[in-house]
Amino acid sequence: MLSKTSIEESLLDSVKEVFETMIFMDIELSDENEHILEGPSFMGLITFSGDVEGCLGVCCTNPCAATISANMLGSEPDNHAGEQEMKDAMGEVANMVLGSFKARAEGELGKIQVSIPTVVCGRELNNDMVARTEKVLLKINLQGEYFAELTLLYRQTGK
Amino acid sequence: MAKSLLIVDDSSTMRKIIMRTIRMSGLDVGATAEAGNGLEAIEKLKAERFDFMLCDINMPEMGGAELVQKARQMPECGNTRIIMVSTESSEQLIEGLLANGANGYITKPFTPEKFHEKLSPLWN
Repeated sequence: MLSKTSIEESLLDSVKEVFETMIFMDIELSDENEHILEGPSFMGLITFSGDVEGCLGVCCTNPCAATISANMLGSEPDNHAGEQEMKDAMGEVANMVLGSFKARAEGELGKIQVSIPTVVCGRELNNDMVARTEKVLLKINLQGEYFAELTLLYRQTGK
Repeated sequence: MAKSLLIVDDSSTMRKIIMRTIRMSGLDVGATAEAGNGLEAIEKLKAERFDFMLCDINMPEMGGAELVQKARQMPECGNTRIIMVSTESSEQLIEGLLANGANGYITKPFTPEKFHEKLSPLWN
Protein backbone atom coordinates (compact mmCIF):
# COMPACT_ATOMS: atom_id res chain seq x y z
CA MET A 1 0.00 0.00 0.00
CA LEU A 2 1.29 3.47 -0.89
CA SER A 3 1.99 5.97 1.82
CA LYS A 4 0.07 9.25 1.68
CA THR A 5 3.31 11.07 0.83
CA SER A 6 4.01 8.74 -2.03
CA ILE A 7 0.43 9.15 -3.31
CA GLU A 8 0.84 12.93 -3.21
CA GLU A 9 4.10 12.69 -5.17
CA SER A 10 2.62 10.34 -7.78
CA LEU A 11 -0.46 12.53 -8.14
CA LEU A 12 1.65 15.68 -8.56
CA ASP A 13 3.85 13.97 -11.16
CA SER A 14 0.70 12.89 -13.02
CA VAL A 15 -0.78 16.39 -12.95
CA LYS A 16 2.49 17.87 -14.21
CA GLU A 17 2.69 15.34 -17.03
CA VAL A 18 -0.86 16.04 -18.21
CA PHE A 19 -0.67 19.83 -17.94
CA GLU A 20 2.75 20.11 -19.56
CA THR A 21 2.08 17.59 -22.35
CA MET A 22 -1.53 18.23 -23.31
CA ILE A 23 -2.41 21.66 -21.95
CA PHE A 24 0.93 23.45 -22.35
CA MET A 25 0.78 25.04 -18.90
CA ASP A 26 3.49 24.95 -16.23
CA ILE A 27 2.24 24.16 -12.77
CA GLU A 28 3.56 24.65 -9.27
CA LEU A 29 2.22 23.63 -5.90
CA SER A 30 0.52 26.59 -4.25
CA ASP A 31 1.14 27.42 -0.61
CA GLU A 32 -2.24 29.18 -0.30
CA ASN A 33 -4.12 27.95 2.75
CA GLU A 34 -7.37 29.72 2.07
CA HIS A 35 -10.09 28.62 -0.32
CA ILE A 36 -8.58 29.62 -3.66
CA LEU A 37 -11.47 29.14 -6.07
CA GLU A 38 -13.81 32.11 -6.12
CA GLY A 39 -16.87 32.28 -8.35
CA PRO A 40 -18.39 29.81 -10.80
CA SER A 41 -16.26 26.73 -11.27
CA PHE A 42 -16.08 23.41 -13.07
CA MET A 43 -15.13 20.12 -11.44
CA GLY A 44 -14.14 17.04 -13.45
CA LEU A 45 -14.79 13.88 -11.44
CA ILE A 46 -13.79 10.30 -12.07
CA THR A 47 -14.25 7.32 -9.78
CA PHE A 48 -12.31 4.09 -9.51
CA SER A 49 -12.92 0.72 -7.90
CA GLY A 50 -10.98 -2.43 -7.15
CA ASP A 51 -8.51 -3.19 -4.36
CA VAL A 52 -8.73 0.51 -3.61
CA GLU A 53 -11.76 2.64 -4.46
CA GLY A 54 -12.28 6.35 -4.55
CA CYS A 55 -12.69 9.47 -6.61
CA LEU A 56 -10.49 12.12 -8.18
CA GLY A 57 -11.79 15.67 -8.60
CA VAL A 58 -10.13 18.45 -10.59
CA CYS A 59 -11.67 21.84 -9.92
CA CYS A 60 -10.98 25.31 -11.32
CA THR A 61 -12.83 28.53 -12.10
CA ASN A 62 -14.64 29.13 -15.38
CA PRO A 63 -11.91 31.40 -16.85
CA CYS A 64 -9.30 28.77 -16.00
CA ALA A 65 -11.44 26.02 -17.58
CA ALA A 66 -11.81 28.20 -20.69
CA THR A 67 -8.02 28.55 -20.93
CA ILE A 68 -7.49 24.81 -20.38
CA SER A 69 -10.07 24.04 -23.08
CA ALA A 70 -8.52 26.55 -25.51
CA ASN A 71 -4.99 25.25 -24.91
CA MET A 72 -6.07 21.64 -25.42
CA LEU A 73 -7.82 22.52 -28.67
CA GLY A 74 -5.16 24.95 -29.90
CA SER A 75 -7.62 27.84 -30.13
CA GLU A 76 -7.27 31.37 -28.81
CA PRO A 77 -8.16 31.71 -25.13
CA ASP A 78 -11.16 33.96 -24.70
CA ASN A 79 -14.29 34.08 -22.64
CA HIS A 80 -16.49 32.63 -25.35
CA ALA A 81 -15.48 28.98 -25.03
CA GLY A 82 -18.68 26.95 -25.02
CA GLU A 83 -19.78 25.37 -21.75
CA GLN A 84 -19.87 21.95 -23.37
CA GLU A 85 -16.27 22.33 -24.56
CA MET A 86 -15.15 23.36 -21.09
CA LYS A 87 -17.02 20.43 -19.51
CA ASP A 88 -15.52 18.03 -22.02
CA ALA A 89 -12.03 19.39 -21.39
CA MET A 90 -12.34 19.16 -17.60
CA GLY A 91 -13.61 15.58 -17.87
CA GLU A 92 -10.65 14.68 -20.03
CA VAL A 93 -8.20 16.32 -17.63
CA ALA A 94 -9.59 14.22 -14.76
CA ASN A 95 -9.49 11.12 -16.96
CA MET A 96 -5.88 11.67 -18.04
CA VAL A 97 -4.61 12.58 -14.57
CA LEU A 98 -6.17 9.46 -13.06
CA GLY A 99 -4.89 7.32 -15.96
CA SER A 100 -1.37 8.61 -15.46
CA PHE A 101 -1.65 8.18 -11.67
CA LYS A 102 -2.95 4.64 -12.11
CA ALA A 103 0.02 3.74 -14.32
CA ARG A 104 2.42 5.12 -11.70
CA ALA A 105 0.75 3.60 -8.65
CA GLU A 106 -0.93 0.40 -9.83
CA GLY A 107 1.95 -1.72 -8.51
CA GLU A 108 1.13 -0.63 -4.98
CA LEU A 109 -2.61 0.03 -5.32
CA GLY A 110 -3.44 -3.22 -7.09
CA LYS A 111 -5.83 -3.42 -10.00
CA ILE A 112 -8.39 -0.66 -10.31
CA GLN A 113 -11.11 -0.01 -12.85
CA VAL A 114 -11.85 3.54 -13.87
CA SER A 115 -15.27 5.06 -14.62
CA ILE A 116 -16.23 7.46 -17.39
CA PRO A 117 -15.65 11.04 -16.16
CA THR A 118 -18.46 13.40 -15.23
CA VAL A 119 -18.33 17.17 -14.82
CA VAL A 120 -20.33 19.44 -12.55
CA CYS A 121 -20.42 23.23 -12.50
CA GLY A 122 -21.42 25.60 -9.72
CA ARG A 123 -19.96 27.57 -6.82
CA GLU A 124 -17.92 26.36 -3.85
CA LEU A 125 -17.71 22.85 -5.26
CA ASN A 126 -16.42 20.19 -2.91
CA ASN A 127 -15.31 16.63 -3.61
CA ASP A 128 -16.24 14.46 -0.64
CA MET A 129 -17.37 10.92 0.08
CA VAL A 130 -18.61 8.80 2.91
CA ALA A 131 -16.52 8.28 6.02
CA ARG A 132 -13.33 6.25 6.31
CA THR A 133 -11.70 7.71 3.24
CA GLU A 134 -8.22 9.17 3.02
CA LYS A 135 -8.01 12.54 1.30
CA VAL A 136 -5.12 14.06 -0.64
CA LEU A 137 -5.54 17.70 -1.62
CA LEU A 138 -3.24 19.46 -4.05
CA LYS A 139 -3.61 23.18 -4.62
CA ILE A 140 -1.78 24.16 -7.76
CA ASN A 141 -0.86 27.40 -9.47
CA LEU A 142 -1.18 27.39 -13.27
CA GLN A 143 1.25 29.70 -15.06
CA GLY A 144 1.09 32.06 -12.09
CA GLU A 145 -2.34 33.11 -13.33
CA TYR A 146 -4.91 30.57 -12.17
CA PHE A 147 -5.45 28.14 -9.34
CA ALA A 148 -6.85 24.64 -9.42
CA GLU A 149 -7.59 22.08 -6.72
CA LEU A 150 -7.17 18.34 -7.05
CA THR A 151 -8.71 16.06 -4.48
CA LEU A 152 -8.09 12.34 -4.37
CA LEU A 153 -10.35 10.37 -2.03
CA TYR A 154 -9.54 6.70 -1.53
CA ARG A 155 -10.00 3.74 0.77
CA GLN A 156 -9.02 0.09 0.74
CA THR A 157 -11.85 -2.31 0.01
CA GLY A 158 -10.25 -5.58 1.04
CA LYS A 159 -11.35 -7.18 -2.26
CA MET B 1 -0.23 8.98 -49.62
CA ALA B 2 -2.95 10.57 -47.49
CA LYS B 3 -4.78 8.17 -45.18
CA SER B 4 -8.41 8.31 -44.15
CA LEU B 5 -9.16 8.26 -40.42
CA LEU B 6 -12.07 7.40 -38.18
CA ILE B 7 -11.66 8.79 -34.66
CA VAL B 8 -13.80 7.16 -31.99
CA ASP B 9 -14.04 8.82 -28.57
CA ASP B 10 -17.00 9.85 -26.42
CA SER B 11 -15.39 13.26 -25.83
CA SER B 12 -15.73 15.62 -28.79
CA THR B 13 -12.87 17.65 -27.33
CA MET B 14 -10.60 14.62 -27.30
CA ARG B 15 -11.56 13.78 -30.91
CA LYS B 16 -10.47 17.29 -31.94
CA ILE B 17 -7.25 17.01 -29.92
CA ILE B 18 -6.40 13.66 -31.53
CA MET B 19 -7.03 15.13 -34.98
CA ARG B 20 -4.91 18.18 -34.23
CA THR B 21 -2.09 16.07 -32.78
CA ILE B 22 -1.97 13.75 -35.80
CA ARG B 23 -1.81 16.74 -38.15
CA MET B 24 0.99 18.23 -35.99
CA SER B 25 2.86 14.92 -36.19
CA GLY B 26 3.45 15.49 -39.90
CA LEU B 27 1.55 12.42 -41.09
CA ASP B 28 -0.40 12.90 -44.33
CA VAL B 29 -4.08 12.91 -43.36
CA GLY B 30 -6.90 12.63 -45.90
CA ALA B 31 -10.62 12.25 -45.24
CA THR B 32 -11.66 12.09 -41.60
CA ALA B 33 -14.77 11.11 -39.69
CA GLU B 34 -15.74 10.93 -36.03
CA ALA B 35 -17.87 8.67 -33.86
CA GLY B 36 -18.89 9.09 -30.21
CA ASN B 37 -18.97 5.40 -29.27
CA GLY B 38 -18.60 1.89 -30.66
CA LEU B 39 -22.12 1.67 -32.05
CA GLU B 40 -21.71 4.89 -34.03
CA ALA B 41 -18.34 3.68 -35.25
CA ILE B 42 -19.83 0.42 -36.58
CA GLU B 43 -22.32 2.43 -38.64
CA LYS B 44 -19.51 4.61 -40.05
CA LEU B 45 -17.44 1.54 -40.86
CA LYS B 46 -20.36 -0.04 -42.74
CA ALA B 47 -20.81 3.09 -44.85
CA GLU B 48 -17.21 3.97 -45.62
CA ARG B 49 -13.72 2.43 -45.79
CA PHE B 50 -11.05 3.87 -43.50
CA ASP B 51 -7.31 3.30 -43.53
CA PHE B 52 -7.06 3.90 -39.79
CA MET B 53 -9.43 3.83 -36.84
CA LEU B 54 -8.21 5.52 -33.64
CA CYS B 55 -10.29 4.30 -30.79
CA ASP B 56 -10.81 5.05 -27.08
CA ILE B 57 -11.57 2.16 -24.70
CA ASN B 58 -13.91 3.49 -22.01
CA MET B 59 -17.01 4.72 -23.83
CA PRO B 60 -20.76 4.46 -23.19
CA GLU B 61 -23.02 2.25 -25.35
CA MET B 62 -20.14 0.20 -26.77
CA GLY B 63 -16.55 0.42 -25.56
CA GLY B 64 -13.35 0.06 -27.54
CA ALA B 65 -12.62 -3.60 -26.71
CA GLU B 66 -15.99 -4.73 -28.05
CA LEU B 67 -15.63 -2.44 -31.06
CA VAL B 68 -12.30 -4.06 -32.02
CA GLN B 69 -13.85 -7.52 -31.87
CA LYS B 70 -16.86 -6.50 -33.96
CA ALA B 71 -14.80 -4.52 -36.47
CA ARG B 72 -12.51 -7.48 -37.07
CA GLN B 73 -15.53 -9.56 -38.06
CA MET B 74 -16.52 -7.00 -40.71
CA PRO B 75 -15.16 -7.55 -44.24
CA GLU B 76 -15.22 -3.75 -44.70
CA CYS B 77 -12.50 -3.44 -42.05
CA GLY B 78 -10.11 -6.03 -43.41
CA ASN B 79 -7.45 -3.43 -44.21
CA THR B 80 -8.27 -0.91 -41.49
CA ARG B 81 -5.48 -0.39 -38.97
CA ILE B 82 -6.94 -0.08 -35.48
CA ILE B 83 -5.01 1.99 -32.95
CA MET B 84 -6.25 2.24 -29.39
CA VAL B 85 -5.84 5.65 -27.72
CA SER B 86 -6.57 5.53 -24.01
CA THR B 87 -5.49 6.31 -20.47
CA GLU B 88 -5.71 2.58 -19.71
CA SER B 89 -2.20 1.19 -19.72
CA SER B 90 -2.20 -2.24 -18.07
CA GLU B 91 -0.09 -4.75 -20.00
CA GLN B 92 -2.78 -7.41 -19.72
CA LEU B 93 -5.39 -5.15 -21.29
CA ILE B 94 -3.09 -4.05 -24.11
CA GLU B 95 -2.06 -7.63 -24.89
CA GLY B 96 -5.72 -8.66 -25.00
CA LEU B 97 -6.62 -5.86 -27.42
CA LEU B 98 -3.67 -6.64 -29.69
CA ALA B 99 -4.63 -10.33 -29.64
CA ASN B 100 -8.18 -9.40 -30.65
CA GLY B 101 -7.07 -7.43 -33.68
CA ALA B 102 -5.84 -3.98 -32.63
CA ASN B 103 -2.66 -2.98 -34.43
CA GLY B 104 -1.24 -0.54 -31.90
CA TYR B 105 -1.70 1.34 -28.68
CA ILE B 106 -1.10 4.96 -27.65
CA THR B 107 -1.53 6.09 -24.05
CA LYS B 108 -2.88 9.49 -23.01
CA PRO B 109 -1.37 11.99 -22.39
CA PHE B 110 0.32 11.98 -25.79
CA THR B 111 2.44 14.20 -28.01
CA PRO B 112 2.70 14.59 -31.81
CA GLU B 113 6.04 12.77 -31.56
CA LYS B 114 4.39 9.80 -29.88
CA PHE B 115 1.75 9.61 -32.62
CA HIS B 116 4.44 9.79 -35.29
CA GLU B 117 6.50 7.07 -33.64
CA LYS B 118 3.53 4.69 -33.30
CA LEU B 119 1.73 5.43 -36.56
CA SER B 120 4.43 6.04 -39.14
CA PRO B 121 5.50 2.36 -39.36
CA LEU B 122 1.87 1.51 -40.20
CA TRP B 123 1.21 4.57 -42.36
CA ASN B 124 3.09 3.30 -45.39
